[in-house]
Amino acid sequence: MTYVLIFLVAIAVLIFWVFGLYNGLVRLRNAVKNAWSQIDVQLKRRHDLIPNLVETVKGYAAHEKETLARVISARNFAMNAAGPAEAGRAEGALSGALKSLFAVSEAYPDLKANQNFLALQEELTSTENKIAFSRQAYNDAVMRYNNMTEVVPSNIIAGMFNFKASEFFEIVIPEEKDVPKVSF
Amino acid sequence: MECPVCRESMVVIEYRSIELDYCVGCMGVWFDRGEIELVLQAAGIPVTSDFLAFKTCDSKPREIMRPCPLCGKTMHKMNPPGGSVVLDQCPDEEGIWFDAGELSETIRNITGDDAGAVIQVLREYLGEALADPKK
Amino acid sequence: MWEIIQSNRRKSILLVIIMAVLLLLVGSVFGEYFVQSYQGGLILAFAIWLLLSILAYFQGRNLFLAISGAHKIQKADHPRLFNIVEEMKIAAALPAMPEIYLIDDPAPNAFAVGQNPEKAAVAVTTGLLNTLNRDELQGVIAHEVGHVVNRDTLFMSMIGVMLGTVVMLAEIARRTLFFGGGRRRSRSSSGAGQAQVIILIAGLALMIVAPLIARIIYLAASRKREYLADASAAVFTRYPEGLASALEKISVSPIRMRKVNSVTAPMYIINPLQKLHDTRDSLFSTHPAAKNRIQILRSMAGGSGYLEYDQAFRRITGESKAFLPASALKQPGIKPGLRKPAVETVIPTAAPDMTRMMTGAVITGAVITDGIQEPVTPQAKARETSDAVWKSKGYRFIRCECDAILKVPPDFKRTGVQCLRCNRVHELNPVPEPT
Repeated sequence: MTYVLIFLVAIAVLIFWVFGLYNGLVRLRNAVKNAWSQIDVQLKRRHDLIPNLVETVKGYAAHEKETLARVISARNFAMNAAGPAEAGRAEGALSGALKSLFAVSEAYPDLKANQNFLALQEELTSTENKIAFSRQAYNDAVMRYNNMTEVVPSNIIAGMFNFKASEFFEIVIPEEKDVPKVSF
Repeated sequence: MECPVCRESMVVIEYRSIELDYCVGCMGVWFDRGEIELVLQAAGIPVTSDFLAFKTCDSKPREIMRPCPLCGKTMHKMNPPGGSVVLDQCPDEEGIWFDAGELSETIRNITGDDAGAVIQVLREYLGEALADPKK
Repeated sequence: MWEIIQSNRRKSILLVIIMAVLLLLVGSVFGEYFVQSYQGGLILAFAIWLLLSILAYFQGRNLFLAISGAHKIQKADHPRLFNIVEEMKIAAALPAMPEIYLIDDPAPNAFAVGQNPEKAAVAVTTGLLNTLNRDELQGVIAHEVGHVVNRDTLFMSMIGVMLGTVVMLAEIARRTLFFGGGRRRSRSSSGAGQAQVIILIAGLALMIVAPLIARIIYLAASRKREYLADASAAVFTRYPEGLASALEKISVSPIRMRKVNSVTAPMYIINPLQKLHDTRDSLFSTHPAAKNRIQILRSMAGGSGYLEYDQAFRRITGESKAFLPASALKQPGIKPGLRKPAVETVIPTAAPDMTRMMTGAVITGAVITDGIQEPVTPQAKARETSDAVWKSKGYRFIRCECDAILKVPPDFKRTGVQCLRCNRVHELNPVPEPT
C-alpha cells in the first residue's frame, strides 16, 4: 500500500514537473513572439514612412533617380522578408540605402530646410533607434528561449513538443561601397 | 500675454523665424528683448547701440502708464533720439511696446531715412499697416 | 534589471524600517507629552502617516506636476522629445508610454514621477530642450526612465512622506516643549520632579535628533538612486557620454529655476538648489556631486553595461564595495557595446542674413547627428521649444497665405484674427469644449 502511494506521488510530481517545463517553454516562446511583434511595428512604420520621404525628396532632387530607386527597391524587398534573419539583412540594406539618400540630400539646401523633410528624417532616424532598442530585448528573449530548448532536461520536452530554436535579429548594414551592387 | 492698452489676449506672429506679439484690437506690437535687433540685422543694418537703452523721458509724459505684458510691473516711458515718440519699456528690460505706427516712426527718426532699406524690411516683416500708418 | 529592482527593494525595506522606528519613537514621545499616553501618540503618528501616504500614492504625481507648473504635451507639440521618450520606453521595456510634460523655465532640468511604470510621467524644462542636443536629451530621459524602472519615484515619495511626518511632529513638539511644555508638567506631582526633567530632556533631544537622522537616511537613499539611474541610463542608451555631457551642461548653467523648493528639489536630475562647484558628497546633499557622476560615466572604458559602471564607480569614489548586486553584473545575454560617437557636423552661419531669410530658408545652421538634423542656432531651437510650450497651453496655429504663422491664445475672444502682415482675416472655429 505504502509503495503504491509513494509511486503515485512520484508520478504526480513527475507530471507536474513536466508541466512546469512545458509551461516555461511556452512562456519563453511567447516572450519571443511578443518581442518580435514590437520590432515588427517599428519595421512597418519605417516602410510606411519611405514613400512619403521619396515623394518629398523628388520635389527637390529629381536628379537623384538612382538613389531614390535604390531606396524604393530596398523597401519593397524588406517588406517581403520572411523571418528575423532575412528581415535583418533586408533592413540592413534599407538602412544603407537611406543613409546614402540622406547623404545626397546634403547638397540640396532647400530640401534640408523643408519642414516636411526634417520631420520625416527625425521620424525615420527615431524609428531606426527604436528598432535597435527593441532588437536588444528581442535577442535577449531569443537567447533565453533557445537556451531552454538546448539544456537538459528541458530539451527533451522541447523535442517532444516541437519547440524549435528562434532566429536572432541582426541588422547588417552593407559597406558604403557595396551598396550600388544591390540588385533585387 | 495681455495687451497693455486694451487688455486683450495678444496674438503671436512668426515670420521667417522672427516672432512678435501684437494686439488685434489696437495693432500695437510687443518686441521681446533682442527680437527687434534680429529684424534690424536681417535688414543689414548694424545694430550699434542696444535698442533698449534709450533714455528715459526727462519731461513727464502725457501718456498714461501701462503695465508690462511680461512681468506686470509699470513700464518706463522712454524717448528714442531724434523725435517725439514716447515708447513704453519694461523696467527689467524684457521688451518694448510700440503703439500702432510708433515703430516705423522710431526707425525713421533714428536712421533719418524715409523710404530706405529699414522701412522696406519692416514692411516685409510687419506688413503695410504697421510700417506706414499714414496709408 | 530584475536583480537591481530586487536589491533595491531589500535596501529600501531596511530604510523604511529605520524610518518607521523613528516615526513611532517620535509619535510615542509626542503622545506622552500631549495626551499623556504613548499609544495615543502612536495612533496619531500612524494616522498622519497613513493619510499622507495615501495622498502621495494616488495624488502625489499630479500634485507634483501642478506645483512645478508642468503642462502635458502631445507628439505633435515636440516630435523629437516624444520620439526620444518612446525610444527609452522601448530600451527600458516599460509597459506603457510615459506622459510627457513641459515646464516653461529657462533653467535646464528634468524629473520623473509616477507610482508605477504604468503611470509614469517625465517632465523637462524648456531650458533643457534649448540647451541639449539629441544625444544629451536622450541621456537625461534615460536617467528619468531609469528612476521609474528602479521604482525610485514611488520609493522616494513614500519615504519622503515618512520624513515629512517625523519632521512635522518633532517640530510641533519641540516648539511646545520649549515654550511652556505640555500639560503633563502642570499635573505632575513634585515627587517625580527629577525623573520628569530627565524624561523631558530625553524627549527634547529625540525631537531634535530624529528629524536629522531621518533626513540623512532620506538623502543617502536619494544619492544612491541617482547613481543607479545614471547606470541605467548608460545601459538604456548604450552611450554614457550623452548623459555625461548633459550633466555637464546642466550643472554649469547659471540659470536658477523659478518654481522650486526643498520638497521638489530632490526629484530633479540635478538639484536645482545646490550650489555650483560643489564637488563633495555631503551628508545633506540630495544628489551626488555632478562632477563625480560625470567622471564615472566618462570612465566606463568603452562599455555601457552595469559592470562597467560599477567598476568606474569604485574607481572614482574610492569605495571598495560593489555598487550593484553581483547577479546584475553577471547578467548573461547582454553585451552592451558603446555606440559609435555621434558625428556632429555644424554648418555655421553667423547671423541670419538677408538673402537666406528672403528665400525662406529659416534654418540657418543644422547639426547632423547620425543622420539626424536638428536646429542648431539658439534662435531656431528656442523657437521649436516655445512652439511646444504654446501648443501645450492650447494655442492654435494658423498659417497665413502670406507665410506668416499666427499663434492664437486659447482665451482669444474674437471670432476672427487679422494677420499683422497682410491684413487677411482668418475665421476662428469655436474652440471645442474640453470633454
